[in-house]
Amino acid sequence: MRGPVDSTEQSDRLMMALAEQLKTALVQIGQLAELASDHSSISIVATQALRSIDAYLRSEQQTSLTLEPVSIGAVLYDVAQELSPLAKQCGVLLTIDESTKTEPVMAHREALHTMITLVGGTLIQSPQHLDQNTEPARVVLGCHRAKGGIVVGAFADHTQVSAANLADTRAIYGRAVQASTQTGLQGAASLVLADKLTTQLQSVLKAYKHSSLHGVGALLLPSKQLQLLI
Amino acid sequence: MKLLLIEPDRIMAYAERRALEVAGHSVQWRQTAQTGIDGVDHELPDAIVLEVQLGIHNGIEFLYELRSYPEWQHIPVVIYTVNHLVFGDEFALSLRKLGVTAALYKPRTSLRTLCQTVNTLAPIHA
Repeated sequence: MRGPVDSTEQSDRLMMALAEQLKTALVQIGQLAELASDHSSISIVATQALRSIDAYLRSEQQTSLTLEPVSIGAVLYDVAQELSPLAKQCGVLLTIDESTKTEPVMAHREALHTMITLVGGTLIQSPQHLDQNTEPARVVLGCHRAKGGIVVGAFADHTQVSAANLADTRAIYGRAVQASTQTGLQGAASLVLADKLTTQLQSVLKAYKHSSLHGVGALLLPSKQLQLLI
Repeated sequence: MKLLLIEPDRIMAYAERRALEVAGHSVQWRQTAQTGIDGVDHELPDAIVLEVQLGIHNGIEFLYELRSYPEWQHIPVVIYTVNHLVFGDEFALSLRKLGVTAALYKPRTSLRTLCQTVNTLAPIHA
């Protein structure tokens, strides 16, 4: 026999159902825009919204993730492909930093892909670059070695995501209408989602510096199994 | 190619059908698993584009029924769905066994990619 459903659970379920409905509507909008050959605006906006809702639904439905060796380069390439229309729309130069050659890391490919896409999308849409009139703002998807593992994430030259920003975002999560107190981070709900996915990857989303760029990423463990083979 | 599109959503069916027709295919559209089986029986398609999230009987049940008929076992099936659970490891083996040629996740797949995928399928009869 089913037990009583408390109001929080009921509200969560309603939110999930609503998100599913919105996902369907956004797929419809994306398809109709594509039919009308309007890739430049409607499709990109729909895709971006769809990405966030889909990530939310997945993060709610997935209980545990099986970690396996994942090639960072392949994931960064796929994410760059996915985000390039948005970057073009926002006038941001999106690149992959391939200077650091790394071994595979222990992760869940789909979750890692979604996490970097959410963080990258947030940085691309971050409005600070509008003040820069000289060169286009830059967002770099990359990785570097750090103490204890390999940092994978998205980094930018036009916005500074600090540890304090992230702490703020976590602190007001679920308490405030706006997901971040930082006006610069419009997609702060995406950061909360990325945070949740990173936790499922058994890591923590943190602010990192990548060369001269600031951004957000996760520290992942290299695959020891493959290290033994090398 | 003669395609059978099984898609419960009218708006998506309109868009997908239009895109596939523009790509040069003729499209027969059905909204449920049962009418999908009727559709195959009515006119044998060269390939099937299937949304697995259907009402009453889902797309996996449709596939089991389709493959139970020897003469329909070789029809290529492309899954094009909003349901991401289909892409989980637990479904991978079933989809292979059921002869699914490709599985595409709608939120991440454009109509253009759907058409490109369908275009790579060879017609099973001229």
